[in-house]
Amino acid sequence: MFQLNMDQNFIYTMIFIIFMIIMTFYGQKIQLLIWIGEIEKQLRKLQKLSEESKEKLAEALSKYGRTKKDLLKDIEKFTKFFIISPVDLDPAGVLKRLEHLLDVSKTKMEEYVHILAPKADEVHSDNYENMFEACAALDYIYRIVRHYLILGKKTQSTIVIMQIHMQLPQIMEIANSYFKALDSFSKGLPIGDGIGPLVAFHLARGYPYREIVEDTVVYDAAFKDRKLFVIKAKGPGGNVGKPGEAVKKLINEFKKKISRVVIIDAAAKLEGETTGEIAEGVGAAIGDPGPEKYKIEESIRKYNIPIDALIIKQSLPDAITTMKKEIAETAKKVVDKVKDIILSRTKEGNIVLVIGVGNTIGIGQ
Amino acid sequence: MLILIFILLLLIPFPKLGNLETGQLQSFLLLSIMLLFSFLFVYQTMNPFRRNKEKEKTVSTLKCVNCKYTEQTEFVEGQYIGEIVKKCPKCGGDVMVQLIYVETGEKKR
Ligand SMILES: [Zn+2]
Repeated sequence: MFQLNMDQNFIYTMIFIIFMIIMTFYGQKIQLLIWIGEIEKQLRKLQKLSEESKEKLAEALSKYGRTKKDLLKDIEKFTKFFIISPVDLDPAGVLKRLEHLLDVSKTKMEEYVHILAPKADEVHSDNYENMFEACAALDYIYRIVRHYLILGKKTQSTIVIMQIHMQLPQIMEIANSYFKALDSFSKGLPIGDGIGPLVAFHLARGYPYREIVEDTVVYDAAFKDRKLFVIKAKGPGGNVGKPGEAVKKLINEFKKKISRVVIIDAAAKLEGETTGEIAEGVGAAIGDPGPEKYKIEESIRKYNIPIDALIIKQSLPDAITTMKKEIAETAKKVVDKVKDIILSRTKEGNIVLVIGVGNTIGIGQ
Repeated sequence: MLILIFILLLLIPFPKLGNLETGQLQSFLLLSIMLLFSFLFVYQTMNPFRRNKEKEKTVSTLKCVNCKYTEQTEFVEGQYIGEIVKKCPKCGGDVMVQLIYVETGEKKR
């Protein structure tokens, strides 16, 4: 088979053999170079997203007097903001310390926005805080990817490069959705995560409400001879409020008279599950860093109150960008489900707590 | 995977090397290299992160508080769910924004 005519084919055979040698010994290196090239391409895209996001924020803020250039300088400075999580070697009171840090960082964000746009009203300030967080997230993603790329190049580590390359699609999806989220935040559009507050709104619309803790309202509603306390963040600015604190306050006030807690939240769906699918379970369905969840769990445990959780499944991009039709349309179904739960599991004269967890941007009272 | 195809492409002309005229061999090699580069090109430009840009429309659903009057309009900046937008043309009650969502116009193929 391999009867080579050396005179005629020598040069081609040599080329082939040299090629084989290159591929055998340097194939991985070439692969690495290809991967690095692709990562660099996406990194440039990430940089562009990060820069554009800051410009978008500056554009939105420039309505309040300061020039864009001036604003960009400050935004650049503020996006390097960080929180150092509390020490957990001594776990006693770690959640209280974490809550304190979160409170301080929230105040700090508010201060930043106040520096950037002193004359913005409350609703817009809240939305700008959200935009600012999205900018900071994009900036952070960009810096992390850049870090690992440079690290991988420096150490010529296939593992490091391969890892970023393999995760790039997900990273880019997240980055793109944060970028898209900016538009929703700047226009004050409701986002997918707002399904909890949306359900609370539809359940208790028209009833009187008051601000029980900062940025959190509670409705004094009623349904079929049951008294309902419906909790949601205060809208229509971008807030998540402090539902845990509100629950704690109400439970401490009414104690065992509260016979059931129903909590509604958006939850991450698994790939393959339908967006807007409703699932029912038990537990404090709330995706905060810990303090609010702890308060709910602790309060209901203290008085032995049963809790029902309803989650509406959606992907992370769905959760932070403008609410999709599939999600918005579940609101009515979830309201019916909550009513069902109340009817079947509580008696007349009972008090029921309903909590709509999530960012209430674009959803008023 | 890339390298595998690389090698496979190069193997195509190899078994036949002995039986071919120089010109034919050359064209075989040329062909395989061209195939290789076209593959590389497609691989590079095939962007897994790019998606079909769908037309998106933000819709506000308005509903009268008192009667069954409903209306769908395009979202106006500043509008929010729970806002009372206008009076109902049927009964004069308040018309409230019920839902705001984004509708993706799916492309028909
Ligand atoms: Zn009407």
